[in-house]
Amino acid sequence: MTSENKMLKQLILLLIITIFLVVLFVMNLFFGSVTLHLGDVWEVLTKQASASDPVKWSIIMQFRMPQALTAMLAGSGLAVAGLLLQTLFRNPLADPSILGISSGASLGVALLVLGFGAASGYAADFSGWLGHIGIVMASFSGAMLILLLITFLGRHLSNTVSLLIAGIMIAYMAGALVGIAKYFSQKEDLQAFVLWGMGSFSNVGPNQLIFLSGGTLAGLMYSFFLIKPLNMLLLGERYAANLGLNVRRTKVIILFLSGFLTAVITAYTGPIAFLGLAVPHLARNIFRNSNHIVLVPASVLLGAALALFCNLVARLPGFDTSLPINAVTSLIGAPIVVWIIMKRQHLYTTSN
Amino acid sequence: MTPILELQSLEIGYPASKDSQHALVPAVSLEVHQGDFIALSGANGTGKSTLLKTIAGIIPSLDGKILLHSKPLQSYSAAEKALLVSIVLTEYPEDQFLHAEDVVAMGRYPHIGFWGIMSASDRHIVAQSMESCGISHLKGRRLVSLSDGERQKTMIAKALAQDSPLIILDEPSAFLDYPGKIELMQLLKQLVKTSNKAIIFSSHDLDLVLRSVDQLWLMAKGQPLVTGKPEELVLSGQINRYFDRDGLSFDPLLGHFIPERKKGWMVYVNGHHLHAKWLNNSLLRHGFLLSANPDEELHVACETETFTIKYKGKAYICSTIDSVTDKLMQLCANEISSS
Repeated sequence: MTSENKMLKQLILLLIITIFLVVLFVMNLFFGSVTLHLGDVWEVLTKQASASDPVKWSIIMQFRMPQALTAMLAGSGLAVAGLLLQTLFRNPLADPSILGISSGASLGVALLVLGFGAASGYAADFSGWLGHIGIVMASFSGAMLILLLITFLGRHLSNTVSLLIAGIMIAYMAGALVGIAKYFSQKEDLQAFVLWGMGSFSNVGPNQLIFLSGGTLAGLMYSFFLIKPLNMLLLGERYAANLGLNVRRTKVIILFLSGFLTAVITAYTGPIAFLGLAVPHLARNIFRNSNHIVLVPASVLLGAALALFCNLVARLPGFDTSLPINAVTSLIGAPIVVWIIMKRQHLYTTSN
Repeated sequence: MTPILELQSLEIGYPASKDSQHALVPAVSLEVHQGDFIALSGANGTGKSTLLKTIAGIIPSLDGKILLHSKPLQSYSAAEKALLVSIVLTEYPEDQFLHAEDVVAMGRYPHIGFWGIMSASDRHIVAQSMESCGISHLKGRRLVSLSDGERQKTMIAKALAQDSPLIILDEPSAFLDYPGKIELMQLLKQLVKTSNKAIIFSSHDLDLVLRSVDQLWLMAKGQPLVTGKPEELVLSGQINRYFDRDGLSFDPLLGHFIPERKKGWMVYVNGHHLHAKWLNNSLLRHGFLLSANPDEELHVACETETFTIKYKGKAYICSTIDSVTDKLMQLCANEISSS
């Protein structure tokens, strides 16, 4: 197989996934507690707001469209964050939640939402513009705190497995602190936090979508600038340094970027498990390639598609309410990871 | 000709604590020129790897200077250094879908732009590097599916594609079988010859380096690094001193290490070249000592098919090396019991 042939094949695969993505997106607009017809969706999308049925317009433009876009952004962002961390640690189990970064975000949000109530004595309203900024900041600070701790430990633990174990322990500690914060919190705050913790793509209205998409798209775009360094890191840090890479700076950039993506997304959607872990594996196994020039766009597309798929499953037609998205992504993501690990065993022995 | 690499009073090692530093060996001063093929040898734990990693800029030096093309190593940026020194380490990338060709192509990264897109000439260099290492047929194979030797060659092809005047290899023969080691040495020698690069590699495999390289650097704990042609270092007895280990010594006649034995029966062997060599081997293995004295009491004459043992005026004819050894051991046993 010549490399031109291979490139063409991979481009075709990317195209197929893009088509899938579009189909899933449209399906997300159709299905829900109210199933719409093709004509309805078409009408709303093509006509002026005033000219179409206000109920249908509202369902699509104010609920389903933002929800689908949120799912796509979250899926892409978490998938790329997972890819970055897996490459950095050269460990297939690295992902934002396992390293404790998501737990850090939770801790930040818990301290803000629960702490505010405990300190002021009444339940806080975080639905406003300022409240959202507050949650984003809290989530981001919490994630960054854990990131800094992990980076600090990373300097002293040369072994990546040790670092991973340390990350898991940090996640436990953050979880324990969240538990303490819960214990001392107001009932209303607690409910708000628990709901946030179940994850949801539907909490982002059209107005807040700007912040989520701004942050996520900026992070995704930056990840495209890291393609060459990421490839070099596949060889190991020493080889990468010998090829002219400033390893220390790159490490910090990768940790920061993956932390940033996780923090922004987690702030708006709550913790979403397994997308960051499963999607990069899916991308590698579909494309059978390690080159990040393929893996980064593939993770973006597959992450968006898988998140849309999970969102569909969460709102299976016939149900009045939707399932918590965090549970759905776990139910779908975990088997994918197991399947890949089982497949991996044969990879060492078979040649292609 | 200016040297590619110059070490001036270089001290290597790891800082023992914040205030005190502990150099592994006395300061090293050396020059490496284009076309040099150098082996760095010494027992395990003497600092071979540390020296190579210091030269490659992976770990900092304690003191002294490393000059690359007459400029201090530290004055180069990481990107500039990548064009001057390439390395081959004992570690391998373990990524599942990393293909041999991708790895070699990464050798071109210091030469190409931000996005890592290769031009036709870059692709040509990659193909040529793989060709030189004899791994063109492994192009589309995943690195994890290759044998140790094939993987080693892939990493060497990567270093070749990097196209630096100096290539440093850390224990490249460590995981190879013996024919693989010989093949590796031949490949490296060929590269030095055809591309006029300088190659430095470390190996504790003295047998191998003695027969392969033009220049040998010897290291031992706390002793100054000595350099020279392999033959000079053997004849001057340096090898023995630098590989000092109780109960072992380097036999300059045989070209390898043998257990030191102060007592044993002296045997004089003469005759057909190949059979004599392997009879010696068997005798040493069974605890005899080889004598250079033709008047020795125990004497074995080798011909192609027969061995004649002469002892105390009697002659015994044997047909195999095994039976010679047995007979000699029997003679010695008789001697001991009668005395």
